[in-house]
Amino acid sequence: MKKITPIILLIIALFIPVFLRERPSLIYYINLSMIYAISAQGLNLLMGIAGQISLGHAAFMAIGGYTSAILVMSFHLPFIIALIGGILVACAFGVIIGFPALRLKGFYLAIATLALGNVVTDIIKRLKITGGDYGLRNIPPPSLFGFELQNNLSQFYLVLGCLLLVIFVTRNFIKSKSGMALQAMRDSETGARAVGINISNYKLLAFIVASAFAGLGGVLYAHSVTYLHPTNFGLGFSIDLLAITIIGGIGTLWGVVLGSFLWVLVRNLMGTGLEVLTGVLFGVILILVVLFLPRGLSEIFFRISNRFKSKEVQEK
Amino acid sequence: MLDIKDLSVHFGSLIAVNTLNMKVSENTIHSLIGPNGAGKTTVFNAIYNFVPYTGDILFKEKSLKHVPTHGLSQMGISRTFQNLSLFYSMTVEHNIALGLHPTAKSNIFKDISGVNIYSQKGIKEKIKSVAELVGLTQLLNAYPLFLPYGTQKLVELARALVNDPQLLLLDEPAAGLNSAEKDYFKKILLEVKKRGITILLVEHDMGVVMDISDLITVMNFGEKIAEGTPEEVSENPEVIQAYLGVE
Ligand SMILES: Nc1ncnc2c1ncn2[C@@H]1O[C@H](COP(=O)(O)OP(=O)(O)O)[C@@H](O)[C@H]1O
Ligand SMILES: [Mg+2]
Repeated sequence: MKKITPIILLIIALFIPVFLRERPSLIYYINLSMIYAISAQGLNLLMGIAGQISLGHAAFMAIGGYTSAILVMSFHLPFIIALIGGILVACAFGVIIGFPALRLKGFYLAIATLALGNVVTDIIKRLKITGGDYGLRNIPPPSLFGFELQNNLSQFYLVLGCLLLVIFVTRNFIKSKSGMALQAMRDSETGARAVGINISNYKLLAFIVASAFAGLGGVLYAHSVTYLHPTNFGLGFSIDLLAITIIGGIGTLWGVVLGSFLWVLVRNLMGTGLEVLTGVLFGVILILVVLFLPRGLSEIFFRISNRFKSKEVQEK
Repeated sequence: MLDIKDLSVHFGSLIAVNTLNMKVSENTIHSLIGPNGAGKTTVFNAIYNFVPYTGDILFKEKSLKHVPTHGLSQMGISRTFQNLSLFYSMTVEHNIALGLHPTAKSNIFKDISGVNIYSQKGIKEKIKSVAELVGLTQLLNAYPLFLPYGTQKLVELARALVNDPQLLLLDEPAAGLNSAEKDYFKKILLEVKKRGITILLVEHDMGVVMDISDLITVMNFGEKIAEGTPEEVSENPEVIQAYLGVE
């Protein structure tokens, strides 16, 4: 049962575009959800596993997205190089935002990351190469091995591949030596230091990995939305990513996927007249989840699968 | 083995440790006792560079002044805490495993490709043998939060022992234990000593201290007021007045 479920889900996922052939805009929203999930997974690692906090996570999406778009548009580099470039530059900024974390905790760290996120979007707004306040438009679609992934359908497979890779890496990372060290640090910093964990290095590592995921999400966002503007990556979006993580289930592997789909659903698919209510609705969902499902929406799935498991045991 | 020289620790105007000198010899159980607030834990925290200090602390002739906290384990120093500092989201086994963090070798490729180094055979065996020593074999898969306090202390002891330290610092390991658990703890400590590990023991329980110590240093108000064998110390009038008399 445990081994088959992911395979079944994967097959269903691979065929989603076929079912939705007549509704390409829906595929666009699915792609968007997966891109948010990729970015939020970074925040999930940072908060759920490493016990840190960031209110500037969206800025790393911006850094990844802008870097990649500029590398393709101004330097005419191939997409795959731009993608790696976007991730690397995001990682470099991850180190910068990680430094305050070496000294600050909780509320103070939240404020510091918020400020750094603001600085990033502010600089983007002032630079020429980023298109300043006008933004970057007509960003070319991703291309791989000489094929341009023009439509939502082809991009779906690229984004799905990236999402699965991110989840796979996250799953492995959590169980790895580094992942265990981060969890030890989250549980007891004193204990972690005493057993020989270099807290500073691991905090930086957490911010670097989180930034890498956000950077990847940003690259995919830039080339599938084809338009970047600094205000899209401000505090509001950082908080949305935070909410996605918490609603989905912080510290869980698949929670961000649930949270992202819900967010995109609430945000984009509510009737046009109700747009003003989306923020309120998402807020209410957040409060309900925090109150009744401390492990987020994933908890519902845990409960269901536990019920299955206990049935299996009874039948034996 | 451990040489504390003119150690002073100030917290603002409070002098928690005042020009303390003491030497811990190899393969002994050396107890550091004194009333609450005497500065015992602060000595440990100085060794661990958790607090700034003046004076010097030498471990095997090497100054620890500029050794970062996380470097001590690899030098052969381990400790437990007066207030437990376990990793409560992890099983007992993983709590112990993390004691091997400095020696378990990994790299970024292993980290992202799903190699779980703490489940490798050599490491598992190390964990098992320590668990056997402290009597946790049956509880490796349990979560420490749900274990009795005394058992949680054993988990922390196992975590400190798994990396084969040369010097073990224990901060009130017997506090909160019942008398059967205390006897058990004494037995474990003697066994640990037999394996060649030096123990610096901060302990309130006189029964434990008198039974297993080779040497006792007594502190009061941050200063050393006496030092000697259990017999000598228990007969020292100043100690009786300052410490035993208070009880
Ligand atoms: N981090 C700290 N900041 C301020 N005062 C402290 C700190 N740690 C300990 N103290 C003070 O130093 C004195 C010695 O404390 P401590 O070493 O914990 O005593 P003991 O372990 O002997 O009971 C106490 O008065 C305590 O309040
Ligand atoms: Mg103390």
